Amino acid sequence: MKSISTHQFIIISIFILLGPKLLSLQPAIFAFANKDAIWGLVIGCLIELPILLLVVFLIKKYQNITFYELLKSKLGKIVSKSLLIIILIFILFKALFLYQETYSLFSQILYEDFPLWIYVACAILVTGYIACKGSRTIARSLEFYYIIAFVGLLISALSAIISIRMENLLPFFENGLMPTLNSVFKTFFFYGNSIILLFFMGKVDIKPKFVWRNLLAYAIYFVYVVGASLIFYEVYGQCVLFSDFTIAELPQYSPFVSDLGRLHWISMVVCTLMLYSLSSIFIWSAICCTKWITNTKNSSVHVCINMFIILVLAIINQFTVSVMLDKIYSYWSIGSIVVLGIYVILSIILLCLKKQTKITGGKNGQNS
Amino acid sequence: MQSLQKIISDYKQTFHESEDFITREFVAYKDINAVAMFIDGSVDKQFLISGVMRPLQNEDIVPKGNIAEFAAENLVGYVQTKTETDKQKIVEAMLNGFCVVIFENCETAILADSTKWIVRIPSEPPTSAVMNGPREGFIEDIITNCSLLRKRLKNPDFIMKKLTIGRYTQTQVRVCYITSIADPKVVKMVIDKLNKIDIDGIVDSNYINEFLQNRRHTIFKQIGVSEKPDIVAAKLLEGRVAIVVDGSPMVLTIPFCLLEDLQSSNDYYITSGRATILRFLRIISLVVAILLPGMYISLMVYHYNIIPIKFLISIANSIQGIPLPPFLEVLFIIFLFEVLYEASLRMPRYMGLALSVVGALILGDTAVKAGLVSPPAVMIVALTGVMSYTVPEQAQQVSFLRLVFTIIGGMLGLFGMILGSMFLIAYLCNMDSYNTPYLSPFAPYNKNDQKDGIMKMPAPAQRTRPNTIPNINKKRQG
Repeated sequence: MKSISTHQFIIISIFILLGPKLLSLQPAIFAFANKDAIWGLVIGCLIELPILLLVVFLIKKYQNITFYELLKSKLGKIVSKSLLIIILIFILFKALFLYQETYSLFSQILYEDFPLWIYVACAILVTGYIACKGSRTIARSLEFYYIIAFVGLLISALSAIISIRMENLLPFFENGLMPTLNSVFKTFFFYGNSIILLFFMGKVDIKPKFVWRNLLAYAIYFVYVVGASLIFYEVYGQCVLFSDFTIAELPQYSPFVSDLGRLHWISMVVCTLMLYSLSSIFIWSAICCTKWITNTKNSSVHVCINMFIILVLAIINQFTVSVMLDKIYSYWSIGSIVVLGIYVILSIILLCLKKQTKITGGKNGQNS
Repeated sequence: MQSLQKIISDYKQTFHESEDFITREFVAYKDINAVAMFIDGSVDKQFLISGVMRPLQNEDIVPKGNIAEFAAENLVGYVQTKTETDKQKIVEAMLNGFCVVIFENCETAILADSTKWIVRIPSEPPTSAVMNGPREGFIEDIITNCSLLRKRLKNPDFIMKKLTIGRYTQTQVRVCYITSIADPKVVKMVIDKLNKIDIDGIVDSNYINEFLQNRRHTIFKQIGVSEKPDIVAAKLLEGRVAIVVDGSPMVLTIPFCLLEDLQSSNDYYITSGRATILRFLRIISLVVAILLPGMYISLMVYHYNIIPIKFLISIANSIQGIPLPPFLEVLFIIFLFEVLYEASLRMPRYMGLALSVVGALILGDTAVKAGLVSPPAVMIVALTGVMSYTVPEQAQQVSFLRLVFTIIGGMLGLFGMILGSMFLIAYLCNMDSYNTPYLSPFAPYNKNDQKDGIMKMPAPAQRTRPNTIPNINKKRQG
């Protein structure tokens, strides 16, 4: 029985694509590309498209088997488990950064003194619970509040639109194209999350125009990220470097501040909602990885294992954004490029291979 | 062959010489001794004399063959009868209001239906009052309740399966469904679960309710409950299964989803636009009732910088000199509110007015004037208390969640409120009631079912039955 509908899969795609680009990415790109930061972002977002398409085509081609079953049948047990270990590390680092981003968001904007251990305990409890309940619960939860999240994001982005100053991004490419490309390279860690969607393989009730619907999801993501970032860069100008949280800080420039209070709490709520949902997806994917690697099925044990690894990684990285960003600019991004490279090549090979698995069609979407 | 006196003595012993076990000896067919036995208060005595005993006494024909079979046929014109030889079944029949007639030297007994339990007249249920629409409500008698349903569903496909549950109470339970609409798998699941119940007694449908729940330890309703036949009939037409329990005016319906409680029967008797607005109002009220006290404490304790400055000054003035911190202050008022609510339920009706005067005026007003609590905190708790009753069926759950979110808000602020909300949504999304997702038709989203979701489309637009409720016949119109 398919546990996720096409509609839910599209929402998950948007969350996965959008989530990591809400807070830290824009200032990070600006640090390297300066006024051409928006072009760096556009190139980065465009890199997402072929990765997403590859994943979507793979999911559509192999509708009735899981990602691990596919890997195992084509590459054998050892190679497939090795690949899963690589992707597990990739996922855990991504999840760690998301937890870190949300902690920084709260501790810097909303709380004067926010104890780390309380944050860690609560965040792990809730995201772990959601992840433990599986893909169906995650998909339904996102489907339940996606409209609230998207409307909130739209309000956050548009709230400061009156304050934009076009001259903040002009002229383009003053120092050539290299700083822009360098910014994409240095911040590559933020891209390529769509390979996480491979974990939903075999669970999606694929409806007609599946690929087109995913393209629409990508279009929504692209328009929003580029649009909101454009507003952010044009409103903040050179002050971007002193702003750590793009969407969450944007409403501070809202002309409605005096009337409605500080609107940024709306962005805070929406961003937290999105980032924790994304963390749940990452933890669930990590659970899938460890389950497949160890051939055991107890979700609670796997949640504990993954959360423990994240905690260890957090302690190593001192749980601060600045420490992590330094690593992101260097070997975390290189690592991401390597992992994504492996999976892109693998996906192309798997797509080109002749399909052996009999597809019986996924008609039953009642329980999604 | 036992003598009549021995038989009477046997039955008296079976009932342990109970005072309400009545025996009346008489002579039937001129010279055959007979006894009529029944439970006092469960039969219509006038009818027993005129419809059972007198016809047998007045009969001149000498019966041939089995007297009981012969007499049962004779009585057909007066009363519904059947014959029985099994003592256990005869006792059960008496307990269910049948009069038993036994003849001397005859092993077979006549069971004459002369049931007349004391019941009240169907009236408008206090929990489901409507401005427009039918005002009939279920009562404590299963026969009346089933006839109220049958009156609305005049189709042979509407069937009732009888079960008896409870070793001592022998409570009659009827599983009602429309065989051409309800999903047989759901019907089987329900009947199987009912058959597995082994308990000494069922005194109300809520006993059954607790046995039918898939999750035992949850505060959320998993079975629908209604006191109105029009609501149950409408649910049966959507493919649900209803369970009518003798002695209870509450009829259970399965499967259940949260949306059902957000809909009111009144919605179907007013214009669609108005119904949609009311549904929005209920949802907003429900969310605000759960989250507002927690949000208030979060803002006052942790995030006062996001409150508009004019509003902040006004609140700051009103909380000056209050001895309790906002967290304890709100908890204190919630505690007072719950105590008043509980007392008003249990207190004799004539004391109700006095209680509301004491509660609202003396306690509230005096506490504010004495500087024990602040007006904003009283206003917020009172507002959420009122809002929670826009959906009375969910008031208990809302009350519990309000307390939980108040504690979370007081301890963790906005961060806790967001995490708590996410946890709650995930928990509800994970729940299913007999193959129906708890948050359907929103999660999973179902386009067709949105016609009677938050929005209420006019009846002609609802051409099919809900997709999220399992049923075997989707077509509703045309």
